[in-house]
Amino acid sequence: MAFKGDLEALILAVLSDHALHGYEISKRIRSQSQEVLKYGEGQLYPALHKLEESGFIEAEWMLQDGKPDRKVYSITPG
Amino acid sequence: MKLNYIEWYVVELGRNLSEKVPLEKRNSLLHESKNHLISLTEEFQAQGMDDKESQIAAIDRFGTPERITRQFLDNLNSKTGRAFVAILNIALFVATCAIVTYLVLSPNELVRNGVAITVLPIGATYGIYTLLRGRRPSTKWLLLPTTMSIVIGVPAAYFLTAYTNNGGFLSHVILYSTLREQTQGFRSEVQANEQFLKPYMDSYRVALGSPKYKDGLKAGETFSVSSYTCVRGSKGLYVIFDNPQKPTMFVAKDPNKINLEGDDFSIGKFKAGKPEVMAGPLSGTNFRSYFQERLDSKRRSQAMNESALNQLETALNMSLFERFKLFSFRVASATLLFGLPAAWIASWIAFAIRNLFRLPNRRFRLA
Repeated sequence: MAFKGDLEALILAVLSDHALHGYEISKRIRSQSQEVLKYGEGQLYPALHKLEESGFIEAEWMLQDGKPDRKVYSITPG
Repeated sequence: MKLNYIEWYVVELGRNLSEKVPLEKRNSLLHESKNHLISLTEEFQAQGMDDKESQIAAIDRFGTPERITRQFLDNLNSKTGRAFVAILNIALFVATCAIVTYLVLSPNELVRNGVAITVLPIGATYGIYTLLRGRRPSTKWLLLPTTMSIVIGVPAAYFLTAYTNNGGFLSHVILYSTLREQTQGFRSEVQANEQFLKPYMDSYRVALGSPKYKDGLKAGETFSVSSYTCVRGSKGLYVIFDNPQKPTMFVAKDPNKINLEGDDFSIGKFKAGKPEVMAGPLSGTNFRSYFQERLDSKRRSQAMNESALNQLETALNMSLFERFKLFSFRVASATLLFGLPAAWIASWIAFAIRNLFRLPNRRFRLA
């Protein structure tokens, strides 16, 4: 059974090595646990926003040529 | 312009989030969601799906707009400051105590019915829902009290109408017979008192005109009423006080040689509030007004009982359907007047408690 904190913990674990955007984070989480995102990958974003507001991670919009802008998340430096 | 599935999804998500999530945050979430869906679509297309199939699969994997919105709102809720929640909690607690106390103690029957029928069950329903779900019910669910008043309130009204003291079966068995008995008792008492008072008042003046009290009674002095005999004379009943040291009064039994007794008129001693004229045309004025007061009080009791009896008789004479209509109207009024505010207050209290203790959400949907 997945608990509420699992997703946030996994996000932090995934971001510990790289700064990533939402889709990439979900791919990595999916490779580690199917259970956590079983209600849809969309549930990732509320969790990301929550972590951002709590100050655990920070985000930056990255402009891409010919592609939509991406919001990239990374662990807040300690 | 024809929207593709992803665009439709983003519009739907935006509609769900609107007014619930701040604009900047909403735009950011919509933008990210759209990018994510496009990436998923590309992933599925790489696996061999066509455009339409890949969009549907992407949306399926992303999750429903309602679920994402709910999760987003849960996060917003959990951000509520503890100090704010504590203050809100105390304020709501005090307000609720004050309101419920007022309602329960209210002399108005409709108000009391409102508390019993609506505040407790509806308030509890909304409170428990909010406590478990972590989110206050949407506005449309404020219609729940109306639904409840139809589903529960109306059958309850029928039951109460048919069987309780509100004119129903039990009224015949208990209330009506008791009230009728009481009222008849009051009626006969008042009649007896009136019959007693008239000749007594007439005779009183004569008695006070006796030489024994020729000097009158000054203010504050006590006039002892003792055992006596009333004798009907040419000018009415004559009252003779035999022993002023043993104050007693008797009710008339024999019209010709009458003993008077009874609590209502056993005043024992009459203390003059102002100088009592004991002889002449104004004799016994204070004493008479004292008697009159007691008689009036008796008459008021009789009037109240008669009024209650009349109401009950009216109710008993109404058809079951008429009484049912009347009672249903009361239930509906009480629901609207008290059920809705109760639902609102209860859901806020539960919401505050939930945040204060950071209770986990339960995965079920009432709505």
